[in-house]
Amino acid sequence: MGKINPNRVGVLTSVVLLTTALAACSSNNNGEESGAGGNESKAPATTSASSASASQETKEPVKIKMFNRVNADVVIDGNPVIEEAGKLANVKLEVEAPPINNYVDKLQVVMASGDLPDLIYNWGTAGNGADANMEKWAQNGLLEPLDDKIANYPNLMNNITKEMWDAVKSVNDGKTYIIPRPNVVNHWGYVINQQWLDKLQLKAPTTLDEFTEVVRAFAKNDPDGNGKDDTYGLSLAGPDLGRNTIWNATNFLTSAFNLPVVDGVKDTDGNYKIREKMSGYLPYLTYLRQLNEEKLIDPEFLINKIYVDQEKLNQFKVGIIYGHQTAVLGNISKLPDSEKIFSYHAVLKNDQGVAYDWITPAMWGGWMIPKDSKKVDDILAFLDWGNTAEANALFQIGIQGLTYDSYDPSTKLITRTEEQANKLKTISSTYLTPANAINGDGASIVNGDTPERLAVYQAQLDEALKQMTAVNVPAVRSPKILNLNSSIPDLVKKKDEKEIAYITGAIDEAKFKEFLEKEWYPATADAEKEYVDFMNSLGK
Amino acid sequence: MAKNLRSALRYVDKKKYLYIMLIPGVLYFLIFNYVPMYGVLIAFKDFNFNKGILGSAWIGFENFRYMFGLSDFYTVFWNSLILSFLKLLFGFPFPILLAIFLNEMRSRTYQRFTQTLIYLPHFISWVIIGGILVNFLSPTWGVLNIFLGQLGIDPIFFLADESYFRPIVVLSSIWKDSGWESIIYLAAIASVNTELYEAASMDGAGRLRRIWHITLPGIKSTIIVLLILRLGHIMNNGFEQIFVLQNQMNLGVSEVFETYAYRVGILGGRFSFGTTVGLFTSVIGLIFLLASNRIAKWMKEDGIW
Amino acid sequence: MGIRSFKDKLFDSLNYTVITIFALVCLFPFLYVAAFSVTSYTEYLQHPLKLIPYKLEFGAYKQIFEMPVLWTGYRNTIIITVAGVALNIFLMLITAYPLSKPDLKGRNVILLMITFTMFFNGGLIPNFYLIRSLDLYNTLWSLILPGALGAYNLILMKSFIQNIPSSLEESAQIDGANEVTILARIIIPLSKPAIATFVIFHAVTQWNTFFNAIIYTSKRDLWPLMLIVRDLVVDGGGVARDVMDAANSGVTEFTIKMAIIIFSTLPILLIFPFMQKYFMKGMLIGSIKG
Repeated sequence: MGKINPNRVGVLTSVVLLTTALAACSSNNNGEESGAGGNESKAPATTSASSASASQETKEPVKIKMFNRVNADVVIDGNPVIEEAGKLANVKLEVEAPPINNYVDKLQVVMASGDLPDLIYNWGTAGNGADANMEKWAQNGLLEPLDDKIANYPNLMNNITKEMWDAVKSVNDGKTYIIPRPNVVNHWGYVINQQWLDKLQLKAPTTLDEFTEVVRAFAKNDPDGNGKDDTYGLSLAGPDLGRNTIWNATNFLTSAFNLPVVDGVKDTDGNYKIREKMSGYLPYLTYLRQLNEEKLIDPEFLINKIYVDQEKLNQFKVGIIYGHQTAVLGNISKLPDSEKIFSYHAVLKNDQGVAYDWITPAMWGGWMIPKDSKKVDDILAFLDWGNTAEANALFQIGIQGLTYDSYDPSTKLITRTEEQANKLKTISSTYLTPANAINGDGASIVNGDTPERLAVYQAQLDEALKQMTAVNVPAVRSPKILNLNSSIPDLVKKKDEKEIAYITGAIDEAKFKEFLEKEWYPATADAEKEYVDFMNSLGK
Repeated sequence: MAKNLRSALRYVDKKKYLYIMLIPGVLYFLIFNYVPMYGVLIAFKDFNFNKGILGSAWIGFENFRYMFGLSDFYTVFWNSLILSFLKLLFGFPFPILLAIFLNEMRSRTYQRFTQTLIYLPHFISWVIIGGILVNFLSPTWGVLNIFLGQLGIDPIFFLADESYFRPIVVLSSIWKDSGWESIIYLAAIASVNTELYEAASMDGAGRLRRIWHITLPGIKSTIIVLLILRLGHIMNNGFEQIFVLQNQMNLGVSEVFETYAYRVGILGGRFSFGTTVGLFTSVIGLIFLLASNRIAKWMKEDGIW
Repeated sequence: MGIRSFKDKLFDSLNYTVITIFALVCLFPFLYVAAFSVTSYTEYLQHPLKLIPYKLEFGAYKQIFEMPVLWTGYRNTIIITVAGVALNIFLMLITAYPLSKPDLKGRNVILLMITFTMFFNGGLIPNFYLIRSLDLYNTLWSLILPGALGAYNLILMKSFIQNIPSSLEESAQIDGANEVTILARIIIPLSKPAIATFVIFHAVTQWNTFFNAIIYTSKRDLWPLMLIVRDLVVDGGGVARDVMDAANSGVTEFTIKMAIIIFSTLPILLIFPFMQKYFMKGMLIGSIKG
């Protein structure tokens, strides 16, 4: 009797299922951007093909058992892409893939089982794989430190930037236990209903004043022309536990207040400080408070769960949501002709007229090798091959004839039949890639399967990059600031509640400031000091 | 001593079939439940992946001290308890009434048909139900508020208003599961001796009197056993349901132990915290179960043993 | 007489009205899922609460039928459901019957021991070790045996059996029948409604099994249906908003999700109408007298 009798395992299941969810969400905001910088990322992928594997071709292929997080559509047994990868890298690749939703459960059990696979993927709450789990496993002596080895592998050194390597070093002993999986550099901005803009004869806003004007017009001037007052300017969404939606990829708006949504950026006075002390913090919240009071923002903006904002955009209930360069084309699979309805734009400019594109190292988890593995060199050689354009293309677009007809790496234009597209879904996905981007770029663009769509994508990205000033933000590896959720969980929750109370007008500015000064600043002083020291030490 | 042993053996011999029948079940619980039970020690240990559960270092009640020391521990405790209590108060009798009134329907075909409908929501996950509810209750686009608007009532932001959270949880769980839960009562009613009903209608007893004097007493022991078992889970609120209805604005009443364990244990990287919370809620549940069983016995009813 | 029949009629009409309304309310979520499994997403966006599609679209079902994983999932689920239910009912009957004897010595200790398992559980890692040392890892048995006997249902079953009038048993005892015969000839026929209930409960539990498969198997061809469904469907409540999410085929379209839910729950829904006749009042008369 499932309902009344919740066995412990069941509860734990859902708990960890949700972990994954949340981890996903947090990685979405923290780990998405890369140090490669906007313009560099367009450089063609290195074709310095597998030098490591070339020297091994005479050798008997080594068996590598890979433990990876792969979506359920992909068939693992007799998979032609996995076989092809084995051939190209001269290994015998075996993949074990627990379901993505409960990957962490199984991984914990496997790590405790004493019988470890050769190559283990970890994604974790940090988004770059170097999370508390990794620290724990390393501390318990389950993982091989790789610092002495990695320099021998040119593709690893080329494709994984110094910022990425720094971002995954253990906070306990400074060693490298995980090889980052580089990802596409996402440039967060906003997605707007272009048809509404055109109808109201407005243009996409670049400053806060323009933004307010557009938002007001979207909310009050009946942009969908249905004669009803049922639209809002913008909406936000986010994971519902542990963090307010207002910090979830809201770069497009916080940029106007010089307020980075990620740690690791200086405030306007040139000093590092915690977000709640930054000059833009209160003005940003106050702005949201005004939008809410004037009913310009979706009243549910503080409680929308992930994807709900996108659904509201697609239902023409709201006109603006956050998004990055592939959001518009990605939306096509939900709403046909998305690229004709919506457009993507850069973040807003600050009071100095600068639009900052804060870019953190772009990683999507990483790979770990068990302690004292006999195959360390073979595994690293495989990952080295995995960081080539050849490998990336194989996993992302599949095999010619089977999953596509033609592919042009310079334009990324792919021609494929519907049948081939369906085939690709069952034999590969980005989850299988050892590296999901080469120099910050993937082999293909989602739904970019016609020249017209690719042109739309490219034009919007170029325009956005032209407007924005890229700032490379280092990964913050200062434990106390990362662990506030476990050291003062009650106060973190209280702070979130106070922010919301202030935005909704339940408390006034004085009350809110009083909380910050009397409770929040003292409780976080220690963590802030450690963080500031860490940031200042980076420059040296 | 030997005499006692002999009389014990004689007793066992007399009941040997009963004892033999018990062997597989008892072995089953020993192997599948008791052998792995040493895992609860994690709550008292600093788990080390290399050393395993038994080899890890003891940390005593450190996890418990941390848990009781959190300033919102008591809020969470009350939230869990109040929500469970409300679910019990309104949710527990509902399936019983449903079963009784279904049973009173004259048309067998229609009875079967409605029975089949009411247990359908049980098969739709909370994720989907939650999505429907969120749409339905939305202050701007939700059907309920549009309807209230036509009556001249200002839109109500149901999911952001703490005072609506508990009613929503209670009503939605009745909606989703009371049909399913009524199955067991239907089985109990089917076991009531029909001759009693026949005798009652001869005496000219009305429908309500028959329900009161025959149906209810006939299923009383099932009700009591289910009530006791339910009290054993007083600290469990159903993670999925709470999770889909919870948001940052109703957190003050929606945070319960299951979501709290997730927030602190997994988000915060305190791995044994989940086990600690689980152990704590289990002990409370066990106390409730034993106490209610004792009360049932004291009232001369069949408890669970 | 006239008054009674008026009261009776009033009772009936109230009863029918209330139950009908409740049944319709209960039909809603299922209808919602079913309707949107055959409606295009675009239409859903325009009318998110409209339950009658303008145009039926079976594209989602066509796509599902072409997913190879779902069919192996079906096979596995049917095996673990049938075997699991058979084992569960057998174990439950032979254990609950002796425990229903209030005067059996040692009974209370065993009941307490069983109750205890509702509250304390070793967690993932010890259970994993157990399955591995019993050599059940990567077999369908690992999805059948754990959970084959649960304290909760066992206690309920015991209480059902305890309710059977002891006079029926006693007369058989006088005839010299032993307990095995009594269980088979008297208790089981008299417990049909209870057995039907637990068949439904356990069948649904087994049908919905997914978590054990994650921990106790490493091969995708052993995954039960619900594990696959969860991985394909549950993302709003949980999943993978991975960095590359838009590119991931793991994110399934709304319509396909709805179709998958219907496709995976319809068979188990059909079990209830088959069991329904055991819930009908009066069906026991024959077995008591016979």
